[in-house]
Amino acid sequence: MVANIQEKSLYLPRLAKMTKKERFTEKEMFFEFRFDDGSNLNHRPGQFVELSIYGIGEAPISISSSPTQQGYFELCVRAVGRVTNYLHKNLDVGSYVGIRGPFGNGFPYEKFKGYDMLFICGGLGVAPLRSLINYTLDKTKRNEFGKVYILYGCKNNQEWLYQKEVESWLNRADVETYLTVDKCTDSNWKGNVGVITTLIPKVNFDVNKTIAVICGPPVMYKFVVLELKNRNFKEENIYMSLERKMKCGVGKCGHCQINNVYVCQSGPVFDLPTVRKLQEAI
Amino acid sequence: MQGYILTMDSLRNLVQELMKTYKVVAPVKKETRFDFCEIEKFDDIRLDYDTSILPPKKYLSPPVETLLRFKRSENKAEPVFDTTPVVLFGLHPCDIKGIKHLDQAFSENNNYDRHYLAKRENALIIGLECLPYDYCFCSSVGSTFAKDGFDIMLIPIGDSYLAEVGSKKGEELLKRIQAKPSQELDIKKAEAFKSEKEKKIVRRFNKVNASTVRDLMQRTWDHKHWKELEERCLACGSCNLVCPTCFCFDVQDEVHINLDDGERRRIWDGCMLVDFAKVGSGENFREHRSQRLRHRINRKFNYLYDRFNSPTCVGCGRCVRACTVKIDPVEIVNELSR
Repeated sequence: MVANIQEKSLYLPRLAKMTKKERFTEKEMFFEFRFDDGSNLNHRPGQFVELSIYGIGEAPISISSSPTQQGYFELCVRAVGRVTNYLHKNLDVGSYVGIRGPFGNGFPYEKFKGYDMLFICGGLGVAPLRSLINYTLDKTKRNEFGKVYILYGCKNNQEWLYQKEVESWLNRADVETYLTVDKCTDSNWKGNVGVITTLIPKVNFDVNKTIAVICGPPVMYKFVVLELKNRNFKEENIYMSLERKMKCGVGKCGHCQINNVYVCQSGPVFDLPTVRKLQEAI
Repeated sequence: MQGYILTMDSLRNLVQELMKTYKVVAPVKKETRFDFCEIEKFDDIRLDYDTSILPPKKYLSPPVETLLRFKRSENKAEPVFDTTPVVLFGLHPCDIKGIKHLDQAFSENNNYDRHYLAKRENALIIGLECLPYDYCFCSSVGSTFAKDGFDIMLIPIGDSYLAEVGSKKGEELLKRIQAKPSQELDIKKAEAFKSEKEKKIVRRFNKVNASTVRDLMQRTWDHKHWKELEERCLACGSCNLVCPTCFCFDVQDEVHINLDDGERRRIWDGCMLVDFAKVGSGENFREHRSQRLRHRINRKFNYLYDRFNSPTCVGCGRCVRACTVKIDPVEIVNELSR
């Protein structure tokens, strides 16, 4: 019994130090964290962590950096609740937070090798997809993938996340980047206006060798899938990361459940044929 | 069914022996009903209880449970494991099956929940065979009898009990109080009690059984009855609270008055409550009461079936009794299969 007692708690976080903090928009901030012992988070693109602040609580946050970025990990956090607001307002570089995870399945990027990649990011959905985008574009990995298309839409010209990186994508010869804003509120914006689906007809992808990866607000998925289907996209080549309330991360607390699936364990990444079998999924 | 025979006196002996080393929890009278409580003496126990207000689960997965103790100023936390030895005495077969489900849920996928398991490993379960009461329907979900999941199972035979052995610990205990081995006649009496029980179960599914109820649920996901139930269901979560196999939880931090020390606690949560599937952005994936009720009923009869290899409802009937508007899984299933 004694040996058992000494076993670890699933709910005990390890500490990570905030090493960068940068404001993206009014609601979203960028953070870099490091473990004091220099170890990596050892995550897959598409996984998430539980970020915890003692006395405030815990919140699930998708990992925004690629595992090829060693020695640190990055999160892009929208201030919506107690934990995220506290992180934005009360913690600065040098502060420690608790981290549990990484949790979830992440993207099956091994299967994507040799394929062209079509990333479809809506708003904050760019945060988890950036992990896979950076992985794909990493110089050690780039030749494992074919063409890369990035479609990224946000509400208006003030809402861009990772603006500098988006600019670098625009400047890369091996990436086709398409941007759109839902509403043009700013005379500086000369690009596409309309929801993200309006970008899909502009992209000249080959449905026989392209993987589509989608992440965005819940309302977005149905319409993006419809538009991809209009282009004869194969269902098994469409992947999406679903948003759910992931409280424990270890398949116990029940909040993330869709039918028979615990999203924190079997997800958050699903292919479309799997999603089709889940009622209430999208 | 090899076992031992316990007279009332030897049962008293057993409990008194247990009270020396264990916290003994058993059904006691609470005003007009019964509930599991820590007893002070054998006579507190009501062996004739119909069911308890809350399932005995509350001693393994309490309504509020400290997971970590932390100190904010030092960013330090340490886990809390409760290893108090407990005897859960007098559990009916449905509740024993309920605990078996919890055992699995808290140790699946290599995610061993030591907070639950520490309590469970230090618990002894002594079951008590029962007769049906007004609300239960165990035969429809395959939990009429417990084959395992207990250390000792007591079956009433006249003035005595046949004590079936479920574990080594149970056997040692019976030997320690020098219980006599049962005779063939005792076993016959116990079998007669059990078949009497089976005959008396009147509340049941009309057209499906424990293994086909899942298919029914899958076929009727879009049935109009879910919408009809929305008119009645108050989404109060009472059914979640009294369910022996509801194990969903919320986690909250509680800071002491010095604003430095505190605890991270797990608190029972319920999928019938409006915020249960709501995410930070405000999106609620089961906004309507009908969606939440359908989720709950499917969770008991369909969604978790493959994992647990049976319905996770154990037919105890507590949810029916607790429901203000008397929503009843048996009626739902019978309406869906009509």
